[in-house]
Amino acid sequence: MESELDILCRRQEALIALIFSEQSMLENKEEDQMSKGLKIYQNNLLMTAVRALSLKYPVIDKMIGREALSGLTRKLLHIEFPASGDWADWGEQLSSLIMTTELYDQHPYLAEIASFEWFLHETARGVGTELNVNSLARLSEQNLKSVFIQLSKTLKVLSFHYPVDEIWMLHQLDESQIDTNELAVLLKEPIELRRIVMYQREAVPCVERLTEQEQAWLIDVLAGLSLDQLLEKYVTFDLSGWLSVAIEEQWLEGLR
Amino acid sequence: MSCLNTAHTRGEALSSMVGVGLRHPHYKEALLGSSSIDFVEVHAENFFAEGGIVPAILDDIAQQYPISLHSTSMGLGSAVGINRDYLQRLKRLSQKVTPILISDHACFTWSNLNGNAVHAGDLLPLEFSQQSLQVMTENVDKVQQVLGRKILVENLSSYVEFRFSNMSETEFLTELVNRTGCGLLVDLNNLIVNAHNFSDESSLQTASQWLQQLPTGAVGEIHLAGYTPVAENELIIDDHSQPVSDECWSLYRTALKQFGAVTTLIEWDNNLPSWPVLLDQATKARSIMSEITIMKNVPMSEEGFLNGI
Repeated sequence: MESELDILCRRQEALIALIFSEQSMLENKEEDQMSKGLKIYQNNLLMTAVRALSLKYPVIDKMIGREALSGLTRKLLHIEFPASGDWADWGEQLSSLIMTTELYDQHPYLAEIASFEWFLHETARGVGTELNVNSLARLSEQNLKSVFIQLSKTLKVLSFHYPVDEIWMLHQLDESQIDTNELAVLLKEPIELRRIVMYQREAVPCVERLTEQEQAWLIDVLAGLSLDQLLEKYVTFDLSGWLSVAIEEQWLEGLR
Repeated sequence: MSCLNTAHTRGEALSSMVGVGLRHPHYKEALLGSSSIDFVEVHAENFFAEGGIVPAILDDIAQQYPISLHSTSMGLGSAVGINRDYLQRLKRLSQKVTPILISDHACFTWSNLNGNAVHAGDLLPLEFSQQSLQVMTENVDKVQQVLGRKILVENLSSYVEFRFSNMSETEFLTELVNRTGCGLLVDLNNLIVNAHNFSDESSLQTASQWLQQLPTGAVGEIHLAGYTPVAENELIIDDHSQPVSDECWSLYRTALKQFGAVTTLIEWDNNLPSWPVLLDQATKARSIMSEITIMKNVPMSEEGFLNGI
């Protein structure tokens, strides 16, 4: 037999199911008090979710417009439920959702721009760490097999087919200032892979482009190769130059 | 980190504090100059990020103002309980800020949808029943234990009514106070919105009667706000997008006469005015509080809300 608590749980679930229901109450012609009330909750949910997405995906918002973003938001609410109590945590799956829509057929770059913006959002909220200066003394150790480079937890190594960093920067301008010819060139069929490192510096997210070798090095560092293994694999790599950049850009937590 | 003015650490001073809800577009102005407010209220979830610029902004705010943490996601009436990670994030924030008040709503937010955990993203109404009261009591108890302090529970504006309710909202809240020792945050605008939407009597009369049913000494804070007018037969939405309504000011006078001086907040979340206009609303609230509580010699409300359990 169902307990009183179970019954209450079920009633609360039922209300949430109605609010999240794909069938909009706007289509309900019976304007009784309950329908009016549910419509308000449905509109509130959609408006709050759209606002949450527009804050995380400002360039997507600019590129597709609020109406299209509302349509995507409605779909996303059924794929990815808000679950943490903080709207800032919701919306990660926008990029994969875009790939299933007609928008993607006409504008394939949108999925990558959405990925880029999500990573930027995550990087902006991540906890940066200070460099453990004393740990750098491990560089003088004889046996580098047990020395590992520890990178900032906010650092991400990413690849894109489109020049998403440039597209994103261009959209930081006022709409009237955006050079549409320049944008059209950037959005053309991609030719070369865009490799970037995204990280937090002075509490602000930053993006730098990488060469193929720099990217491979960082991927191997993140994979946990020892300094000895890295130097064996990248014989011509300028370690001291890289360390200098890594410290300056706050990529490095230290050596362990 | 928090730098409270010592004048504000005594209960009798705190009970007559007037503040405003601090929202993102006002951060710069709020932090630039001196202002006439006693505290600011921030939405707790907006400061959950542990890295980036958000913690530094909060540090700056806390250097200048006592902070009231107002949560919108705790879902104190959720039958499935309160998400543990959420509560831990709130606890970390509370330990960092040392807020003068912590509050959330008499609503539910956590549940399941298609077998998965979900957060409603909104303040969903409760049925006022014994089982719902039991859930609410256990959740409020747990939150107060985790946070190590008393919280305030706010009455909700609701757009649906449940046939399962078998007690009034004031009976429900009064019993909650008795069982948990929590305080109440009375949102006068929510009362007016509910009265407009669900009562056949005058909204002010309905709201005044509601206030009269609350226990003396239970009210630790009052929220004042306005709403966008709607056509007849439409439900009013509690959108916090307008100046405090005349009805709300009138009800505020009634509340102060009944409860004495109570910490008061101007809540304006959408269609934000300029910072000076928002401060003017706070000045008006202070003026009314002085007029009612000093001229009429109405006592200060109990000070216990602003300290720990």
